[in-house]
Amino acid sequence: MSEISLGVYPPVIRIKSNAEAKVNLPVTVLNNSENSIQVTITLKPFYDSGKTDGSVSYYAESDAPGRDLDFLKVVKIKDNDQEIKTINLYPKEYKTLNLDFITPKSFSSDYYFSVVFSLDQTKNDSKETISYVKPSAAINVLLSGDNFSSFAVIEELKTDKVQFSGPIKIDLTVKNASDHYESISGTIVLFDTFGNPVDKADLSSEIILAGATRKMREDGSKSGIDLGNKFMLGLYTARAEIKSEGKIIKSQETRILTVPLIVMLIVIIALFIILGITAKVLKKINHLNISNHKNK
Amino acid sequence: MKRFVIAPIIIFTLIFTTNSSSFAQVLEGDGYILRLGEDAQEKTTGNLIRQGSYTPEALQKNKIIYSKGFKAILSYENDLKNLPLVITVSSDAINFGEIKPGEPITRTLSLKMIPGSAKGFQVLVIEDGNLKSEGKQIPPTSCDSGNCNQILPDLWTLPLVYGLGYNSSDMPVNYYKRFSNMDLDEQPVSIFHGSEVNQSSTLTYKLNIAGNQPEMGYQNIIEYIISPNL
Repeated sequence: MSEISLGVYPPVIRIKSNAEAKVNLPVTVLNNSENSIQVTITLKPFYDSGKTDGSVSYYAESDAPGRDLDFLKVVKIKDNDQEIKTINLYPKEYKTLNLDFITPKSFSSDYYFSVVFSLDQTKNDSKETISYVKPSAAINVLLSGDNFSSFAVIEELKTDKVQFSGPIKIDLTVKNASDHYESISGTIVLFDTFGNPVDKADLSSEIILAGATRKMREDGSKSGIDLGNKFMLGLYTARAEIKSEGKIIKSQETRILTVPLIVMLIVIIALFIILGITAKVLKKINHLNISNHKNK
Repeated sequence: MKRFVIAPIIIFTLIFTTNSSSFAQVLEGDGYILRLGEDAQEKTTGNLIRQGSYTPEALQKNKIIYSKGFKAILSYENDLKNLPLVITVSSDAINFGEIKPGEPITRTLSLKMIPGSAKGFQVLVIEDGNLKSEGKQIPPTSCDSGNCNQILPDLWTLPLVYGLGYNSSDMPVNYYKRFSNMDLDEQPVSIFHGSEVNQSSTLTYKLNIAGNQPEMGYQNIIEYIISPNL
């Protein structure tokens, strides 16, 4: 029993292709273990997981679409022009192989599949009960036809309409309504009551599979999108613009009223005090007037 | 022709004339490195992958390939991390030894991951089938309530509840799930996701068998797949 460390590069490959193009691309597998290992190579179709975070799901064996399985029959991993299904790697050795296939005759919709490199595990007869561990690393490949229009839409631009403190938190969800994957980026700009821009967030470029939805994030942020600062007061407008291939394709706005809670409480208390003083003063004035009138 | 003559001479010379403990030879070819001898093996330094140690031609930032009829982008255009996607498991086998009825056994497996890009990754798990031996099987656990499955964990503490299950570091202590099972035509299930280099997770396997379970050596294979986020 020994530690096994297996790696691949690149993690993701995106291909835009004409029909019947001969595709040949480098893929690298590396053995970071202290021992030699044998690695098997398989191909698995995948789909968007639905978690809006860019993760994928693999089909159960009987659910994999026949169209995808038929296409994968022509996809080969080659070493020096020879197709291989397994490879031996020495400790700390890497090997660059070739992903090789001819694209289909027609591209009505995309193909998504993983090239999975796995430790070759076999069971051995033993009196002991053993659960063998099979580490695997996947390269996710997206194949799409060239030349199509963008169908990305803003599915939701959501924020609390009244906020009691900044920064303003915004959720932006984009749906790819087309049959092809798209790379979507964009910006969200925050304007004050007078239409002056006060803050801007550049959105991280995200790959969205056909029919899938993605929650957009601010570039460099692991969570959502924050605009403005802690102390904000007034009516603001957030305008979201999404881009495909650098061109703005959709935009949407939402309005937010920010009233800092502490400031509001202070104002209310001050108002009550002022009203209370005013009432007392008016009462005294009234009382004096009545006394003067009686004396006359 | 020269290569066929020189290569065996070099190898023959290296094997028979050099002390193996001080021997260090690196043969480098088109897309591979062959390291011979103990001293040639690199020791890990705490970073699993060192920049400069793994620089195959394909391991390049912002690699865009244009060729006849297609354009391909390898990895991400603006990704500052130029690392492979790596999964490391602490052991290639979980050995429960000779199991006895009514004596639950636990074993741990550590996973460590390198994300390959700023988009992050997930780890999915699936077993090829139940622990089997000569037609006999150990079923998966259904936990104390009978309600846990490959998606939903539940408490498992009763000594008369049998089967195989696992706890991962994001689950409460003593909560277990069964493994997703290929024999049942199930999908791999996501057990972990992250985006940091050398992020780690620990799984605890738990196995308990009934009194009428034949005492034999049962086996299965559990696959852990690291898959990059898009």
